[in-house]
Amino acid sequence: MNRRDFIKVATYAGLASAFLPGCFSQSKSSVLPNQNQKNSPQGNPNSEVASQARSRLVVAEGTDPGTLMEKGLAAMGGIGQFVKSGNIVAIKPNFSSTRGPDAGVTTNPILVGPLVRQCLQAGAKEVRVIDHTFSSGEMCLEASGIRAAVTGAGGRAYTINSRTNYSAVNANGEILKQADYSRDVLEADVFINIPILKQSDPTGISAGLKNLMGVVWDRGFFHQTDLHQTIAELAAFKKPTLTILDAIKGITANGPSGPGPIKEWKQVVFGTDMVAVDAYGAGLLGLKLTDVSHLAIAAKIGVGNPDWRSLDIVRV
Amino acid sequence: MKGKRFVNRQLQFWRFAIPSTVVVLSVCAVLEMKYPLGRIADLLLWISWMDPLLLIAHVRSTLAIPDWIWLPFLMMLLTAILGRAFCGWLCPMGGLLNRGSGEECLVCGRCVTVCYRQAIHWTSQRQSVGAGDRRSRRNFLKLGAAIATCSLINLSAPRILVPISFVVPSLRPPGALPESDFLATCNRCSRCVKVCPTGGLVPMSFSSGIIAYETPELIPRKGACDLCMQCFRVCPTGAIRQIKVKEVKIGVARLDEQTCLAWAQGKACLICKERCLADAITIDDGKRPYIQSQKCIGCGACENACPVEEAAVKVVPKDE
Repeated sequence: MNRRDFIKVATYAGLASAFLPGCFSQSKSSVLPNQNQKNSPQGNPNSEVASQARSRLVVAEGTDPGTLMEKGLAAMGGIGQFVKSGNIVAIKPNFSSTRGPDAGVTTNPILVGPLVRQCLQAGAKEVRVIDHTFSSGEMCLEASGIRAAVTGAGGRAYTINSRTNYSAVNANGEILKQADYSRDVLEADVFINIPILKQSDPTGISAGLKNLMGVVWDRGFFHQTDLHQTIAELAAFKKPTLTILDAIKGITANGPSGPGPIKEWKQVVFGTDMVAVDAYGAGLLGLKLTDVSHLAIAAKIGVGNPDWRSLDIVRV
Repeated sequence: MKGKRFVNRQLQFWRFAIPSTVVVLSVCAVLEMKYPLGRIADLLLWISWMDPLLLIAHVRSTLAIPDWIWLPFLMMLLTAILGRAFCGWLCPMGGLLNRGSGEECLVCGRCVTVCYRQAIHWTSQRQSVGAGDRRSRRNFLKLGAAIATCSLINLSAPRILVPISFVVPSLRPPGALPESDFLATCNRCSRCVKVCPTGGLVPMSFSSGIIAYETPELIPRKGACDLCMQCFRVCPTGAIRQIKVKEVKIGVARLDEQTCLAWAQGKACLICKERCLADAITIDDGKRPYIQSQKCIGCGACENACPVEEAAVKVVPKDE
């Protein structure tokens, strides 16, 4: 090889390396639907949900998580109320810790599995189970049992721990003006929030509203400014279609990561009003509404109704 | 004659097939080197263990005889009998060289030994120099200068270039040997860096000194240690020992109350407590965090999450 050949080859290789990555990124973006064409963040499926389900708070009691999910969804009028054929469903459990399901800090995988299965049976095109985890994604997916449960049910569980998983949105809050919000949730037709109920030192309670911190990129901003205010404003930006609170067991002190004393309530709470579900959960934790200011703020800015007793309570 | 040709052909085939298989398997092994560790990743360990020098380093650091001790000895035995057992038969590079440029002499030296008339002998490609020239004053000075330069390697670059106070001791992976032993034993293969699921382990830069160059360091701001305990499993040298999760002590976190949001501004931030893997952060009635140094394992989860521009909580090496 003489010098001329070498320079020629180097030039071609350089040109190729400049164009090849472009090809790949294009093919990738065609997989992801353009989010500008998608529905507005306020989410349309809520309006399709029958008003009967909207005014309902279902409390399923028992010990077997699978049965609880089945009973509860049936009492809400069936998953068909929320998931229509061809929908993309985003499910947000809490699998942020590597402590495992017995530690009472992550959502019970045996609740998530049947939920995924029901969504698929209702005709969902795709079920995404996501979280922005504290610890590294692979470890959380493994240790929490979420991946095994979701894959077994035919869904896809993954973490959104990279900035590329987020799009900037206008939250229009007093403090939270802008946020990088999960694209997987923004693109979805149905958004199901399935937190675990536990105590949390910074916010008093960790349930539905607090769980939504797992669909934003910069959580440090929340901690830096005012946790309660920003959590409420984030909840106002996009309300989940359905909130399912895993109150089978959870820690009651040293939260949200524990280890802490575990209390078993043996309940799963279903509702379309996240604030009502959380207010019910606060009661289980022995907290008064005034103790949890993000719920009060959320009620004030119209996220939901903290007076869960005014809803139609169905115990199954 | 026919038999000899058959043997020759067989030799050529295997000399190509074995290194090619090793190449393919090694690529697979490198791809599998992530959490959770695939079984084929062990292959890289076995390849590394063929090195007798590594055995010496391993025995010296762990003071125990590893159960793979037969491997380097086997390699030495094979090398004594066959010659170049690793380079010629296992090393992907050697095998490919053998195949790739068939026209070039591989300097295997076989022709020299085979020729019964001793008509072939070694010679340098350059003009041969007389023995007297080699011992010239110029060469002596050159050699002296080279040795003097090499001895500088023992000093870290910052010690030469910047004042001593800027030299920061580093956080090593969980289970790492004491610093001086670690530096002597680690062979800078960077497998722990590759396997680290959080990306917190990084190879140290050249500016940290040539001795520490390329050794793994935990940078909590990039990623905390999640205690996956995979780094010792991929470490071929024993520089990272196998320890239990309970025994992990990478460093200890120190809180700067001047910048901590909870201490300085009275905010209920507590993100550090939320992330703490060791339950080492307690809070008082004012929701201000305290670090219990005894319980802290130095994983850096708190430093990683701290929302203050320059983290208000930082992990420092334990012996500082």
